[in-house]
Amino acid sequence: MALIDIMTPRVNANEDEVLVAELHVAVGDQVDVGDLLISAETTKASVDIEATHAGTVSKINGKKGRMIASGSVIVVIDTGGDSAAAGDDASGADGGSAEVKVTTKARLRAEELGVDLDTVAPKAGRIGVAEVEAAAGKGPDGGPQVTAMQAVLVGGGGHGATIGEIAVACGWDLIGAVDGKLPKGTHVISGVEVIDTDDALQSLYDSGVRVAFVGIGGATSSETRQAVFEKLQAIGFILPPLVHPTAHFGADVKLGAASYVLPNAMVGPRCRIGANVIVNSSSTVAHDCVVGDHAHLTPAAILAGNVRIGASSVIGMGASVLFGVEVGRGCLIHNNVSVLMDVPDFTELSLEHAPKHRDLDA
Amino acid sequence: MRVVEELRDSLFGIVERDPSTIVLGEDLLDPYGGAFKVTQGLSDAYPNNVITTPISEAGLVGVGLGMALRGRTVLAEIMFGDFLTLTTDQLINHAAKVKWMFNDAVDASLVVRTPMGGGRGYGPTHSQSIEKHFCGVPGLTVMAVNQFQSPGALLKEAAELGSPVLFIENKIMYSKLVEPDRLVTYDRPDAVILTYGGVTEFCVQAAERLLEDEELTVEVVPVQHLSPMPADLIRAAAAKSGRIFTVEEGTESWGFGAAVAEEILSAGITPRHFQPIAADPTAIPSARNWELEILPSVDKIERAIVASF
Repeated sequence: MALIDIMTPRVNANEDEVLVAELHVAVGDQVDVGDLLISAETTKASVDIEATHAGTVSKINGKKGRMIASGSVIVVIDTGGDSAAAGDDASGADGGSAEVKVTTKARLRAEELGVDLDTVAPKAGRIGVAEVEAAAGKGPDGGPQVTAMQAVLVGGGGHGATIGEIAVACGWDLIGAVDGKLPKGTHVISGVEVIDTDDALQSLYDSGVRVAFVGIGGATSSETRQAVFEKLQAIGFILPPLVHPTAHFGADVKLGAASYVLPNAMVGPRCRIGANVIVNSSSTVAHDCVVGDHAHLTPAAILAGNVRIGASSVIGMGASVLFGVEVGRGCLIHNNVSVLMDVPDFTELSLEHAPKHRDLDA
Repeated sequence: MRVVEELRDSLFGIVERDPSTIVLGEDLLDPYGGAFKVTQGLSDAYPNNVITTPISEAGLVGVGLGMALRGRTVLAEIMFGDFLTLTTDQLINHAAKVKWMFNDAVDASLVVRTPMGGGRGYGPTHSQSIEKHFCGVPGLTVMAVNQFQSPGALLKEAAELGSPVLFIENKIMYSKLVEPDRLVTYDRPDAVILTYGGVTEFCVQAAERLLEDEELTVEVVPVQHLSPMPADLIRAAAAKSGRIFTVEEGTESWGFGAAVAEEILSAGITPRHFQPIAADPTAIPSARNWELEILPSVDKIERAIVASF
């Protein structure tokens, strides 16, 4: 295939441009030698620009009513091959072997989305933003347009609203909540409503959403929250921790995935907090504490320094744990209990009853 | 309507509204009507208002200034912008200062019109863009037309200002169509080009190509008032994008780009990328291909913007 440039003539020595008065062809038209392509004008004369070769019009640089510089290319004629195969789809199909033009915006978008340009199918020999987005699974054929800061909230109840609010305060853009019990359209917080059930998590992930927040609480047990956490991990979601701007977050603290520090909570220096932990509003965790995965420190719970809390344990509202004490796994410490000595795994402690063993599947 | 026609209509309107107006310059009389035909027909229509002068730019601007001091509006034409150097004393040492030297008792309603710019193969002394040497002079306003905003309206504004104006036109632009619809604005463009005068067209063409070929949104912001500079316009444009380009046909140092950078930085705006595009620091060659090589072009602007990403 040969591309023939048709040049804009210089009609008048003192005029550097001609006016494109009339376009007689469009891109894709078949032309023969001598066919009229464009009528052009200067202030002194008008001229007809004719085809010098037979073929398909592949590009027109002039626009009707616009000026174009003398000596520049005004029309390109493709003389090669079977004329019927010159349409957009045909050139797109063999785009893999020909040189493919990637637009600058498409290159930037591919970097942003982590898309390998070699995997993107060109359209008419070109890769644009639309092609990159289609390759990322966010094309115009459905699927929301996703940005890196977009996230889904799992759970649309009271705790979901609390976590949703913190996520927004931390700069995340929530696309909505999924909830197995609440109907679609249920208001969670301003701008966030229930968009589907938990079953939609996989398809949300497939559409490009990569970040999720666990909006499930658990006043006495962490089992449901743990199950949601594990499901999200299995799908592949990124589960960032959150620290509300009003919380104090001490030096050298480690905070695991999907662990959230709520408003006005205090976490002292050098604490190690596992994954999927709730450090609820106004709770205090003094220095050097270790808190296991899935634990819940409910509002106003107080841990003195060097306390250890086992995985999946719940510390009630107003309960306190003395310096250096170790609470085992799966424990439930009721409201206002003062824990003064170590507590074995799966123990339930309350003000009203003697300590008893909990039967937890975990 | 073409730029030359808008300017001519505007001149007719100025003389029509104020019959004491004087238009003077070299070879202005009909049938010749001026080297670039801006005054064509004017001396036939208003024989008492048009004066053709000897070849002395200093003399004709001085005479114009004298008539302006006596209360007339005077529009002087300098055939080529390069010859402005001969008017420097009249403009900088006299016209710009009279209102202060005479304690605001008089000012000079004097507009000096002149075409700048290359691209015609006219060589080193008929192709320059030297307006930057007249910018920053207190009391002297410098304006420049472009074909995307009304050149005629700008000339009317200059004539009505009541104080000295240097009014920059462009030889190549005279035959261009006035096309305001080709200036496109965006909320958050990928890049902003601040420019003025004849090269505004190159910027618009580059922006159109970049949108089509690279899917980049580039907003072209032409500046019509070069001195004093419209700080609000420049700062608002610069705040829209992290990539700011300036394009001028003159040479770069001590030029438009530097003045724009000053306006932006002093407002606390710090773009991620700032790049002035200007002529190479050399005399303008007569050979057309060399001339085009050293002047800003659509290709140079396009390449610079793509390279910034």
